[in-house]
Parts: sequence; C-alpha cells; structure tokens
Amino acid sequence: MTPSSPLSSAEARVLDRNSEYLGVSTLQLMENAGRSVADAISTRFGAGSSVLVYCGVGRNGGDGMVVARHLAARKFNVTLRLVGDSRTITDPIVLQNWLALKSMSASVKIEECRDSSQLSDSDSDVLVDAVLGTGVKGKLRQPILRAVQVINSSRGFKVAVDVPTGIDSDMGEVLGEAVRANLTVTFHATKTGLMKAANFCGEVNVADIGIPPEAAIFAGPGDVEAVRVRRSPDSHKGEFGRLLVIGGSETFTGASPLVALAAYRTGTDLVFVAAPEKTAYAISAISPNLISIKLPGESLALAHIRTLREQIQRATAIVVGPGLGQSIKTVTAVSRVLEIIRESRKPLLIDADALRCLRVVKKRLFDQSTVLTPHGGEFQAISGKIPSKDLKVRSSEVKAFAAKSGAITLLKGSTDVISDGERVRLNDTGNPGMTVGGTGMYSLGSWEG
Amino acid sequence: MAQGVDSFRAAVAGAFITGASGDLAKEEFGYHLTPTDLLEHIPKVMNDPMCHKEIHQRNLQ
Repeated sequence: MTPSSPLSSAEARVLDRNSEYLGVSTLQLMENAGRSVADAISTRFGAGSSVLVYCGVGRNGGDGMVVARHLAARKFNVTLRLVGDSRTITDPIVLQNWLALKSMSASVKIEECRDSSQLSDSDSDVLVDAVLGTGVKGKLRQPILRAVQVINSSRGFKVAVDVPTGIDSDMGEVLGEAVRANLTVTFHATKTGLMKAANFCGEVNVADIGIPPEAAIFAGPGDVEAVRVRRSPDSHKGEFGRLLVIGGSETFTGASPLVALAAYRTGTDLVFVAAPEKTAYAISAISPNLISIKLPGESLALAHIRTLREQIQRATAIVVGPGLGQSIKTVTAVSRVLEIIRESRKPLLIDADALRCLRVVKKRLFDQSTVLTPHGGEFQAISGKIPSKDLKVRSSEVKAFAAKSGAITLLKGSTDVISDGERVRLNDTGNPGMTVGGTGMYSLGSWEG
Repeated sequence: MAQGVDSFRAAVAGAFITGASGDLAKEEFGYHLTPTDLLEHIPKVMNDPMCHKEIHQRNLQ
C-alpha cells in the first residue's frame, strides 16, 4: 500500500482507523478533507459565488458540512441541503459538524430534504456532491437518487467529494445513476474504481489530508478489524475453519496446545492437534477443548504420513512446528508433510522446529498461502544470515527472503517485520515479558483469525 | 487463515493481536507473564483493538 497506489474502500478504512490509533483522529481527517475541497473551489471561484452543498447523513456528508463551513468563512453564498433526516445522523463526528453548521444561521442556509419532492434544480455557480462516499454497494434509493438527478440537471460547476455519488469506488460500477462531476477531489490516494468511472469523475485531484505514513506501515486496529470474520446466527460448526496443528514431541508438550487454544480464542471453530501418542494424551488432559490425533511413537516420523494426509485433507489450514523437536526422523517427516500440504495448496503456517527442519531455503519452495514465523535465530537458520539490528536493513532482508522463498515471512522481534516479497509492514505491539519460552507461539494461534 | 482470510493481512493482524494481548497481560501481571496469560486477552483485542491506543500512547511518553 504505497501512498500513490489506488485504495480500495477497505484499505481507506484501515488507514482511517490506524491514523486514529496513532493520534490523528477521524475528525481531524474530516476537517482536512473538507478544507481541501473548499480550497479547490476557492481557486476556481471567488467570494460571493453561490454554492449548494448536498450532504448525506454519513461521513461523506460530514466532509460536505466542513466544505460549507469553510466556504461560508470565505464569504461564499452557501446553502446546504441535507439529503435525508437529520435525526438519522448517528456518527458522532458527523453530528458534531452538523451542530456546528446549525449554529451558523447567519452565514449558511440549511434545507433538510427528507423526501425527494423537496429536491429541485438550482442555479448555483457550484454544486458540491457529498452525499455518498467510498464503500457503497447496491442501487441508489430515494431521496438520494433524486439528489443525483437534480445535481446532474443543474448547470453549475459540479464537485464530487472523494467519489461521485452513485459510483462504486471499488469496482467503478454505476449504481443505477451517478453524479457527473466536473471535478472530483479524492482523499489521500485515488480509489480503485475511479479510473473505470472516468466519465463521471471529470478532473481528479488527490488531496493530502494528513494521514501519517505510519498508518500504512505499522499494524494497527484497522488491520485487525479488516480481517475479522462476521458470523451470522445460522452459521454452523466448522464454517469458521478447521485448523490442524502438527507439533509436539515427548520433550515439548506445551507449545502445540497453546497454539491450538489461541486459535480457539481468535474464533476458529475446530482445532485438531496431531502429536506423538503420549504427548497427545497429555494435550487432551490440558484442555477438554482440544481434539488430539494420536501418532504412535515418540516423535513425528514417516510412518505417520498416511494419517496426517487424511487430516490435512479435512483441514482448512495447517500449522506445523511447535514442539516437534529436530530428530533426524522428524526432519525427514516434516519435509514430506510440507510437500503434501503444498500440493493441497491450503494455508500453511510454519514455525519453530519445523523452520529449523527446512534448513537454508535457496529457492522458491512456497507460495503466498504459506506463512513463516521465525524469530531471529530461526531466520538465520532459514536465510543463512543473522538478521541486522538496523530496522531498515532488517526490513529489506525479510522482504528479500520472502521474495526468494515465495512465503509470507514474519520475523518476530521487538519490532516485527512482515513481508510478502513486495509489501513490508511492521508491528510495534508487545513487550519484553513476552520473550518467555512459548510466548512467541501466540503469533501463530492469533493468525488463524 | 483457518477462517479464509488472505494470509498477508492475517499475518499483519496476527502480529498486532499477539503483541497487544501481551501488553494487556503485562498491565495485569507486570513482567511475570506466562503464555496462558496472553491467551485470555486475545478476544478483547479482537473485539476492540482500539483499546490498545492508551498503552501505545503511554509508551511514547
């Protein structure tokens, strides 16, 4: 997600939320957005020009309210038409801007249009479309449809805020009808759908609204919200995943059940742990939530391949590694297991001992359905070199390794580095207390979300 | 990943969740953390990841 590449509505939302987390509120971004549209209008029209701002009741409408306030302050002749019922403004930051405007009775004329019959053409010099923004799906309904029609049939200069209303900002499709703008001022970066809808956008200006670049670099709440899976009341067991964890040995019992329990906590429906039999019994005793698959013997070996193949076929994702140990038998078995999983093309996460079993990776062994989660020492084992202490250098090392191996690589550390070979993201959450043996495992379990 | 999310995005989110859960556990237990302490905080971080903002900002002071 480089600043210049087009954004999907989901990516735009991630940036807003991460920005909020970093200390730049959505209200501040809204202020900058609205002001940038006011600036674009001010360069084309002067004080005394008439401006009619059409606002929806959501955030795009909130941007429009800011435009109206700034233009009123610059002595434009401003009218604001709310398309909808003001009692349905629920977003606190939109409400805050709405109330600010309501108190500007001397400089802004406000019309609340709850019904499409209240909307008619106008002879304003400028029309601002702040009815609907990014992420809108489905055909337009009244009174919004009527608002689009009266904007289009008016003669003035038409400015769309972020996206012309009626354009799906992701796909570029027209949702029944859409505003035909002369100018679209879009925020932070262009949107994926705008290129396809070029006929509706007119000139496209990209306005910087003060999102910190770090919002696209560091993992934040927006990234978590974006991957959360919604559940419907009629969903059934297994619909949210069957995870298979292959791990454990006589020596290390604890690691694989921890991963399994973490996966439950992230919302995975069913978690199976395949482990050598004594370990498997111990795992079942740890928690009644865990279903164990008992492999005869003391450690993972080629004799288990048939059982594991069946389990792999039934799983929606597989974790290999925690607590396996590194006996010669296990190393051989791990490489065969990884082959089988690769053939199945199922999401695979390789951690801990299984990483050491890989040895130095010299060619493209994986694709993007595989994630490797080494700490520094394991990264050295698979890349052949000690990761640099310098974060910039380390980032490029992880990126280069991800590109070479084909796998998404997460190097754990005081700052985690995550790369798919093209993109690099960092994560700064966590603390030194987490370096206790076994804590690193959580990255695994959590990922199953 | 098991729930069908794109692996890169899942990895980025997973890193945040893991660390943030560890930070919430540290609020409770100081540095006397055990792996299971983190586990208990995962649902809170997943439901309300913005709850970590306070810790993030405190760490900067």
